[in-house]
Amino acid sequence: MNELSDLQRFQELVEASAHRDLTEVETAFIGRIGFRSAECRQWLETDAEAVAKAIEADPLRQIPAATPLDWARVDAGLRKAGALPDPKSQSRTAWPLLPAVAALVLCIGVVLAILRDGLSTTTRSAPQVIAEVLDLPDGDGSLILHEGAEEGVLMIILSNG
Amino acid sequence: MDVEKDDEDRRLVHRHLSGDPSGFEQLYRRHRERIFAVLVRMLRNRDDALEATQEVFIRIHRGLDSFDASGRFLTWAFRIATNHAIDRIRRRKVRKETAIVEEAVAPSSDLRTGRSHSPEGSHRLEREEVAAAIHQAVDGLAETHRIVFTLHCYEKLSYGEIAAVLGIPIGTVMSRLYHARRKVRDTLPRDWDPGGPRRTKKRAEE
Repeated sequence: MNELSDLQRFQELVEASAHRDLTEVETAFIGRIGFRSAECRQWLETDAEAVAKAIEADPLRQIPAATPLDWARVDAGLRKAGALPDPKSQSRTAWPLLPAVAALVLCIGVVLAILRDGLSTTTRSAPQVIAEVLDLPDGDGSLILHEGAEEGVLMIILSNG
Repeated sequence: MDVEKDDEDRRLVHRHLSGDPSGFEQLYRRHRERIFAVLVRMLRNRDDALEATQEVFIRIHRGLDSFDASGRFLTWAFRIATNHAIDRIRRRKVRKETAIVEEAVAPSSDLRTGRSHSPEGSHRLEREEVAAAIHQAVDGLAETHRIVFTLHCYEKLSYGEIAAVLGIPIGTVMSRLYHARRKVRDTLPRDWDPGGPRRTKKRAEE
């Protein structure tokens, strides 16, 4: 089959496609020849330049971008469908991290303190002197001084008796 | 450049499939404007297109595990968007373009910035006339032809890419595009001189 007859058949089939469904073989022929034959391709794209130039004048060539509000609505729909993560749930999951970190720091501090001082070391409270006037019978005035509250209490009792 | 973008898309898909939700989120933010634009042109209505964009990305999210990583993510996404647009068109009578087209056809406003400009009288009239003719012609196209026309003339997809997006033979893409272009060309003003090639004798005689 020569080039001219390919062109003729190509044209006939393309024109016929407007009125009837082509067979698979016919469709495959269009696809194959449309790529292989420069003449067929040129005929196929007869209107391409005119249409391309017209489209350049078409304002719809550049669609006005959707506004941030538009996208916020789409985002909300996607979040509802589970396609986008919910920022609220993200913030909720972020909060428990703070107490966890604080607890960890506290634990480390305690362990370090134990390693440094040992478990038996106790803090000794500063010496205290407490003076009490006991409610003793008349004529038996006494002043009692004692040191500390829990251990090693030293008591001094002064009595006029 | 496109290859790098495609590779990045694949990485994001993999990230999503590995359990990181930021993978899908980034895919959505990278491609939502383009999907929206395709849907506006197919559905001819901005509100419909916005709603459809949301539905398309939900479909993409649910179907990402079936994405074949040897192909282009954008081709796959276009296929979902196109099928969804066809579903919507068939499911109900699509509202005719309203605000978007009124705004878009307005000759003295810049679509993106809203700034006014005043082209010369004759040029402005010609532009308005051509814009109106294009809209009329594209509106009048059969749905299957309009989709092929949109993907080729506005989205600059090749015959092969359109065939992949729509899942149809290249021969069908060629014949549909031929008829769509001819119809649009025939709707343009008679004195519109694109400087393009003239039709063959056979066509002129028809």
